[in-house]
Amino acid sequence: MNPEIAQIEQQIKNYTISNLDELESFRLQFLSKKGSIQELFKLMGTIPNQEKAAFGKSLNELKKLAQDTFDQAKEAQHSTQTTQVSAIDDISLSPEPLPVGSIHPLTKTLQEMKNIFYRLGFNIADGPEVEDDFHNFTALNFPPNHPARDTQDTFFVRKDDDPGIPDLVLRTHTSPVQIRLMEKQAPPIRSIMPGRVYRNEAVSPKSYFLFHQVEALYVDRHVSVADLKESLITFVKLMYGSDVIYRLRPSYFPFTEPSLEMDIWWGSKTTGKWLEILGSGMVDPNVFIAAGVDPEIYSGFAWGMGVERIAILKYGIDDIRTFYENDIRFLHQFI
Amino acid sequence: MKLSYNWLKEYVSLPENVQETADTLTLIGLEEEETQHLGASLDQIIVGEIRAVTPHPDADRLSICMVFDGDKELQIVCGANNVATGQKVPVAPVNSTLPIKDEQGRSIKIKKTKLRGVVSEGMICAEDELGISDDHAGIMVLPSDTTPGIPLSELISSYQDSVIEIAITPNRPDATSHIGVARDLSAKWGTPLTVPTVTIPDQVANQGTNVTISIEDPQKCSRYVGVVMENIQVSPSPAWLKNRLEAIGLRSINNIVDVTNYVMYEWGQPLHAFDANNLKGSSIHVKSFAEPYDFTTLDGVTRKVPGGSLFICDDEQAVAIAGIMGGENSEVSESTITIVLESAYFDPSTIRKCSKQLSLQTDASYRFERGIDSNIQLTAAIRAADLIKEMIPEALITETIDLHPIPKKSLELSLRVSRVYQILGVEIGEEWIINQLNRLEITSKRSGSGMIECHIPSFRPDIEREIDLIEEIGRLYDYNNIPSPTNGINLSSSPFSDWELDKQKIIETLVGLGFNEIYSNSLISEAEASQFGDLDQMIATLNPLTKDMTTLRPSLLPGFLKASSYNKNRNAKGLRFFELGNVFFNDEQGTFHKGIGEQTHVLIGLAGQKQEDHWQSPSSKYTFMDLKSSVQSLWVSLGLDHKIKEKLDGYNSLQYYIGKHYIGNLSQVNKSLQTIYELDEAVYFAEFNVQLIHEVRREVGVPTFSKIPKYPGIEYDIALVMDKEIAAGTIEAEISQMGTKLLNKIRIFDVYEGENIPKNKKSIAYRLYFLDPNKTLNISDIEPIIDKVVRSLNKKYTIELRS
Repeated sequence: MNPEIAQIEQQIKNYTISNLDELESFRLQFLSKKGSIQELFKLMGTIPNQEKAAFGKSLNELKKLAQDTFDQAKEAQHSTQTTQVSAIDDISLSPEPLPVGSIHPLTKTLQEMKNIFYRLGFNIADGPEVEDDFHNFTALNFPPNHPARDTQDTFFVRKDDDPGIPDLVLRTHTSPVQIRLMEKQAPPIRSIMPGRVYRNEAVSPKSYFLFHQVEALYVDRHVSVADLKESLITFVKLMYGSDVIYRLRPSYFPFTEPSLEMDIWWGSKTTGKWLEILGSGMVDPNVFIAAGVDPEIYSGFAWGMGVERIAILKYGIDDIRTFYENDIRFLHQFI
Repeated sequence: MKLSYNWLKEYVSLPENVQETADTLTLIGLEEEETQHLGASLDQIIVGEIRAVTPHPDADRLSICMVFDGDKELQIVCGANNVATGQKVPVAPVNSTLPIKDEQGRSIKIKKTKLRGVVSEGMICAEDELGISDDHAGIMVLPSDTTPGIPLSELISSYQDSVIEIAITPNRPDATSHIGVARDLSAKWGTPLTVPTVTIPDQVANQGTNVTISIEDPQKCSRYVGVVMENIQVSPSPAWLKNRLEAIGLRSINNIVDVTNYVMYEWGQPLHAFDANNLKGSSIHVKSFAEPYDFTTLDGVTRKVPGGSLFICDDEQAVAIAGIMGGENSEVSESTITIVLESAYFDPSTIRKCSKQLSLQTDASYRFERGIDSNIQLTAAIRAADLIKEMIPEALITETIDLHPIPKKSLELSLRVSRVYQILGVEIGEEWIINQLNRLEITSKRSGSGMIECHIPSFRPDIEREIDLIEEIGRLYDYNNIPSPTNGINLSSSPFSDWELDKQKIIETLVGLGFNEIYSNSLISEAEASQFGDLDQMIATLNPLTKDMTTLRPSLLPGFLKASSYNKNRNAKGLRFFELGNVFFNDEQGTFHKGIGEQTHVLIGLAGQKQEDHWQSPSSKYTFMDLKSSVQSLWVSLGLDHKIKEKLDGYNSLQYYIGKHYIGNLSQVNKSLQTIYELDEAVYFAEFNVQLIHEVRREVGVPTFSKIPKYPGIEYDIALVMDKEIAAGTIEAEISQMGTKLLNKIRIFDVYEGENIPKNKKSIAYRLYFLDPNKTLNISDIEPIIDKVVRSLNKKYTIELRS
């Protein structure tokens, strides 16, 4: 090997590059147009022909060595450069936060319920919060002296001695929407009716004077308790998981007969308990008659449940008033 | 209602496992609320011998006792004054649990403690602390020959019972008695029901010789049985009777009163005993007074009983409020020797009304207002007399009077077996149905093909229709046993309504824009409501429980302000809220009902700090523009941005219109509201009518695809100098109207006032984007349009191009 090539090769191998200045010196010394390697290329003319190939080859290898050394050093230098970017280019700084929206837990629960019912083939209907006596009570088979008609339990908005002017109340349940639906639409009907309802009650952690219900109504030919039961079970399985433990027990509501309630087992096998989650039943023939549906031709079921109750169970909320305080620290938990 | 297990066992055989019975009751519609076991074991209590008693150095009433527990001496501080050396007493040692519960129902565990500085290692018990009696006169002293150290249970066996409390639905008046519940269990299990034999005496008259009874209005009292008994000796009840009543939570009064209560809980018939010697004229009149009547009931309370209420009276005065409570003036006392037992049927609605008006519900009124057995009066009265005779052998029935002006007609119903199948969805055999109904004492037999004739017993006034019978079959069959339908659920193709989808779209958009959904009260106080408009235009409730919930919200604004205030008080910095809900207002035509307007609104609000101090930018507060840009995004998201027109309403409020319809506004909350809600920073809100948004969205229809433009557009900037009073938006609207189809959009990119501009002028710079879908635009295509716009603006508003 040409002694000069060998000497430069040695120089390259011994060169230490520990900063950008040294990197630049290296480049000038070996790789620039006036660098030592380029100088050697100029010697090509002086090399005897038979040695030219070997000289060229080792010169190119030398150049490659210099270039590789430079590239590696450059990369190494750049990776240790972070301390040198300006303070505001530091990407570990926290960014300006953007607002994140949230859905109220009652809307969230309701949406979940709506989605389940949608899968069961139910659509959604709604009706007024201020309701007349006929839709809220009479058509739903409440006897004239039922305690619910008492002012102690129900908010009245209008009470007139003139029988031609109907009493108006803040609806005590979403069931009046059943009547409205049946009045305007012939069976089959398969709808849920979510909405806000009111009870003239004192406020406590367990009760509030307004809350939300979802009513489900299915009317068609040949609808039976068996169909009701099947849809109740499907609902609780979709809502609480397929391993949910449930039971049905007889109950009483003026507007359904037979009436039944559904409980689910809440908590562990040993320390848990039955919790009532919904009331249901077969639409009472009197309700059909009031809404203009022939109970000999059609049958149907209805059920109702409290959205707050379901949400309380779902999220472990211990005070119903929390839903209406709108504390941002509460709302932010339901992104 | 509480059921004593020992008591229930008299009528039907029950399993040892109380929970099994409780579960069965739940499954047949008598839901178990709570089950308790009474007379807990005395195993943990031991017999101790008091070996020394010394006074407590720091407390007069306490003594320090050294008590031998059979193994060692314990030091126990005791407060009873009958404690003495040598006594054998029940001792609850450290770590033992007392048989009774505290007032909150928790167990009481004895701990090693210090009383006024003296260590006490247990408790010497009084009878009430052991659940043996109510006696708390002093510690219980045991026979002197008792061996110390043995468990107290070897000495005394306490009365043990279980109590199941059940919830009774309004349709089950028959289940308000032990026999009624036993009947249901017997029907469910197919086991026999054994009821006490009551032999009706031969000499029952419809009028008495010594005592006379009259009923003024038979509609209100269709039957009145009076049994006169002499040689009565009033005394404390025997243990069996006391135990039964106390188990179900009643206080034992005396043998006569206790028997009337016992029979009520046995048969469901409320009874009342009068002291016959206190009945003036030996008469009983069932009647009412037109005027309110001051009456002292046997609880010692004088009540103003409203006119029209039903009373039991003697010749001179009222002696009982019918079906609710007896009077002090005719109460059975220790000196009573003759009684009249009353067993009547009072009209449910009469009793309910009076009980409600008096706010007084008693065990009797509870039963009468639900409707008792109309046929049981005589049986119940004789049953009570029999029990009294058992306790007082000298007692004699001298008269039995049964006044029955309106006998109840019995009801027959037909039941179609096919209908049972149709409703329950399970084929239940005719035989099974007949059998079950008969066990419920609904006498049933086959009558023709697929038909069952049923005779409804008088204790089931709730059964009036075929469907009521089907319910009886359903509950005994157990709904849990009904199989899945074989045809499966039919699926409906009916989708969510557009109304529903539009509401969802609004919620999703606002959540996406970083707003937090709130739910606010729709009932607010009158005082609060008056801040938001004329109360005459609002809807109020007539009977609110408190003044906090009188008026239906006329707007979603109060709820937003309240929520903002609530959070501000808890140091929240910036608030971004929205709510979707109904508002109410006076409206002659009405939405659903004449006079009542009910509309769904959406509110979007900003309050407080937009940004806290941050290294990228200093802290900033929300501005009108922050909310306006969110509202703008909402319109874009709803596909309505081209439909919406805005109109200035003062300098800090915008009104939004679609066509001629006003759909809502975007405003800064005024200072006075800000003060009321204690919000010190500016608050902005927008509130819109969702119904109108929905209607327009449906008119606009589904967005259709339009081709992506192939040709580039042209941007053209114009800066216009105009009077300061002219709203930039007005000019923007003018430009966009004159800009021809080629004008695609406009953006204001500069707003300037100051140097080089006259003092009463401002410069607004608009960037106009032109686009032709069919060709590449040249500047020469645009210039004529710009010319026209500028000329026209100059003419109309004396606006000039900024040079």
